[in-house]
Amino acid sequence: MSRKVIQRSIIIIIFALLILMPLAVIVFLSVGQQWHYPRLFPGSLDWGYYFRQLTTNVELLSSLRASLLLAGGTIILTLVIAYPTAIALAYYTFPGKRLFSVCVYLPLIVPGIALLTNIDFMMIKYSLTGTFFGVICVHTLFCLPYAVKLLVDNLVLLKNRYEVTGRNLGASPWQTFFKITLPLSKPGLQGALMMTYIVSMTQYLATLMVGNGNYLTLSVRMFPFTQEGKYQIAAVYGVTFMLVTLVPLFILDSLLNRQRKRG
Amino acid sequence: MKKRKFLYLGLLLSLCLLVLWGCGSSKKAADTADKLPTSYSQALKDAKGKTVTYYGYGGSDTQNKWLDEVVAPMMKAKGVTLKRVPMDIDTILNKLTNEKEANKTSGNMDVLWINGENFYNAKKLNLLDGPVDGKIIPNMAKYINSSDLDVKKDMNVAIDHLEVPYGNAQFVFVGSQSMFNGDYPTSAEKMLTWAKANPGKLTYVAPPDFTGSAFVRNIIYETVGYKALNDAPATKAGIYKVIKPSLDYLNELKPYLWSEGKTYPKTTAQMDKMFADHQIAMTFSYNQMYAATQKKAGVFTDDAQTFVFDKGTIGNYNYLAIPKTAPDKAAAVVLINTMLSQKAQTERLKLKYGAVVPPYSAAKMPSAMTEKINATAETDHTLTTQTLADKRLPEVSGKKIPIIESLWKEYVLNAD
Amino acid sequence: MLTKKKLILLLSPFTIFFCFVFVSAFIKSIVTSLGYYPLMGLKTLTFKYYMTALQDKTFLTTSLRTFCFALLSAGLACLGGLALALVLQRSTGPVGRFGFKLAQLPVMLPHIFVILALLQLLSQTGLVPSLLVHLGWLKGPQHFPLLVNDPLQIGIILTYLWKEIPFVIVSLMLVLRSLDRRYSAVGQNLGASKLQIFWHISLPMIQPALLNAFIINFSFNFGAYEVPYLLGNPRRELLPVYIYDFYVQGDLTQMPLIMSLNILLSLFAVLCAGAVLYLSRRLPGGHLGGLK
Repeated sequence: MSRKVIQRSIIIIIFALLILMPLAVIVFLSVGQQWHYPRLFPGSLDWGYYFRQLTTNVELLSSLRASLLLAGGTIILTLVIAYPTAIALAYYTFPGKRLFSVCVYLPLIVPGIALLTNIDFMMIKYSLTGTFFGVICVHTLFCLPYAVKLLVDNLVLLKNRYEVTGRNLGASPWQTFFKITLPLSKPGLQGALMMTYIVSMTQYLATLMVGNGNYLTLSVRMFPFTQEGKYQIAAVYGVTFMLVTLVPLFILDSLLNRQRKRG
Repeated sequence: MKKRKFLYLGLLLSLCLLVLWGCGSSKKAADTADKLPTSYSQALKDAKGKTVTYYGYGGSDTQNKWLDEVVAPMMKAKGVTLKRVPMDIDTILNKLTNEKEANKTSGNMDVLWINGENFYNAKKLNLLDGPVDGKIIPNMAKYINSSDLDVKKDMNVAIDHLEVPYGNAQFVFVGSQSMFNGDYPTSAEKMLTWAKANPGKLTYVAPPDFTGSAFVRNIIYETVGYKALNDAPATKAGIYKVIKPSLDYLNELKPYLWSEGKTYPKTTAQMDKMFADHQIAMTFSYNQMYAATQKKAGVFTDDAQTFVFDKGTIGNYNYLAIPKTAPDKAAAVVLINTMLSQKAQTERLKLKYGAVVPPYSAAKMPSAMTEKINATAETDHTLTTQTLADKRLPEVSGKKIPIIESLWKEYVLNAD
Repeated sequence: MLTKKKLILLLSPFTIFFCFVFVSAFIKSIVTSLGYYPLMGLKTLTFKYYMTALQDKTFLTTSLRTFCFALLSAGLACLGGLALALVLQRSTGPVGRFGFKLAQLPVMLPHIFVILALLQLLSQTGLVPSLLVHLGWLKGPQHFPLLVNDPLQIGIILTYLWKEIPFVIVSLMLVLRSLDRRYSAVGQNLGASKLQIFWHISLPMIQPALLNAFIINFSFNFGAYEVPYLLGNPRRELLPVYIYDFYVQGDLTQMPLIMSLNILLSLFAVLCAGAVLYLSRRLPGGHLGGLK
């Protein structure tokens, strides 16, 4: 091994430690008892605490279902909107394009509470408040910047050269799209899908306000505890949250990877 | 081509505006508001088979458990399903305001947990339904004197039968026995002396945190008295003139605080952690039994002792209210009565349900409950009902609180 | 084939959706900010709330502070992310793959976890000071520098970096992976130095993705409220917290002023994002941003 390789590995290991340390703290926090200064480790570990919390929280399953349902709906709506937008932004020039790109990021910029208050008002007007569609609309709004960005980054690199070649070889536009553009933008789509899933899962105020309290997702149940600083309960929810976000995403990731290798 | 694109965008935009404007002018809503029942027996009859929603702060796991494990089964027995929605009061008011602005007469919330400043705002906007009183809530007539100050006024705002008290809160200090050597600073003066002798060992949560703000008000009561603040006009200049000595006191205390007062904890949770780690000697809470519940949760130890100022500390009540847009007011009335029942309130005194003191009038409180609270005082270092009642001071108007907070920010936090 | 008709078709889903959910709500904020708020009996259109906001000294200094803070933290995240992405790209072995997998973790977790962990680790009685005291490197916890609620916003910056460096890595790796390695091979054959290859070949290819990530991070850091609320220093407030505090006071007569503040905040951030996009076009590789 050359010195360079070792150097790089050391950097990566430090990076990994920095990432894992907070996660480890949260896991220990969820099962540790009497963890006060100056103890480096919890006085005692009570693994049962975590499971007891889970089982006594009868609503965990129902909130998990609500979270997944909303995330699913949001993913569909987001991709349907983001994909054409990304193609347009990546391949076309048009007047006002820069303004358009900034518009995509606007929902992230405008302060949440004020925006949500007014969105809630509009949703009441549309009679969409408390409905599934209403909530996924708001989730989608906050997912779009990420989804569009990841897709554009990916599409720009492919540029339209492949498409042009395909079309020159006599393929129909639809064929070109399904046989060339879509498969090539898979990494981008995968990234966008993951980001959408995560952003949707973590929406708190949007779900609560526009959902009228009809959709009690994991975040809705968890956030009051973190605000209150009930560290241990918050950590229990945190670990659960990690499990339900990370496990499906890694399964999806490895499935897609296997597919890619095979294809 | 360019033009067409802009035309198209413009068209969409104007369509959007049209929708907005169209909605704004549709004054008449199709749905009609539900009415309050005329009697409790009528409410019971109408509520059967319904689902009632409770909207309130969801960050207290003990309170959540009480609702889920005690109140919900009691409601079930009456044929009503209870749905608890964790929503903080700011969001609740936001939603109710939006519903009102959009002229919606029927919403989702049946019962709200509300108090103080928020009640003042909700009442001003005419968001709450009434009268909700002893006539339709039999347990209110049974356990609560209608002449009690806290039934008439919530933070000095006339309640006018729009709220029902369902929990009793009082500001208490929790001090470390070892750090204070058993001699707790039971007055502002003592606190300053102790801080000077032990610099860096005290701090308080920065207002506008709810509890931090109450601490500052307690200091104002100590230095200029409740009456002076209560009589002061609710303007910035008027209050400043009255509380100037209190601000001076806090500024004198400042250099002896943790981090020399250059920063303050942002949440009570942070302050509690500092206290549990013995970095600071004192924390405070609005729950009289805080030391006991925190000890049960394994956060505090026997070292944590409850005390109050000799001149007293601020007490207030938690209230329930029914919004005008409640979809099912009969079920709401049943829920409120159930939450006020002796059975529910007795259970609520258990540590696992947060040990909340009932809102019952002293004369009407069942003796079993008084005994229980006093027993906790001995074993878990809290205070007896007698001490708490003797050292209880009223709140000032909810309108003055934001003013005090901004004065604190201007003259204490950013003084130099 | 790249017809206007097709373009309109491609842009319409976003435009319709955006107008429906966002623009309508935004117009409502503007209308309120101009003093039309019938609920409180305010019905005259006026610019006075904007004037009040712009004359408010606290608001202006807070804005400036927030701007510098967002710029710094987003910039640091981009630099760190870029460096780490390059390291990861070159480590093709299992360590590198593991590193990339790990980099995806923080992207997926909400900020609130980082806050939770950070409070546990870095507050003065946290685990890091405890460890240092145990090791004898620190006399007592009070000697540990204040990293939470500190005047320099270090706690907030650390939280953002923990979330955003990985975000930059992930978005750059997507690009770096599909980069044509032959370009750098050609460059190398032509005798270009490593720096030259990076500057003239790699950077132009990843620059648009990097700046996009910068804009997202910058916007978020500028407008997000929950991290500064919990980890910020009360004396050096950031704009989102300043506005939030106003908001929760619940004084509805203040609503037009609050909305004006919000609109001004949005305007600042949009201008900054626009400036960055403009800059991106001027930098090498800007033409790849699709702006042919």
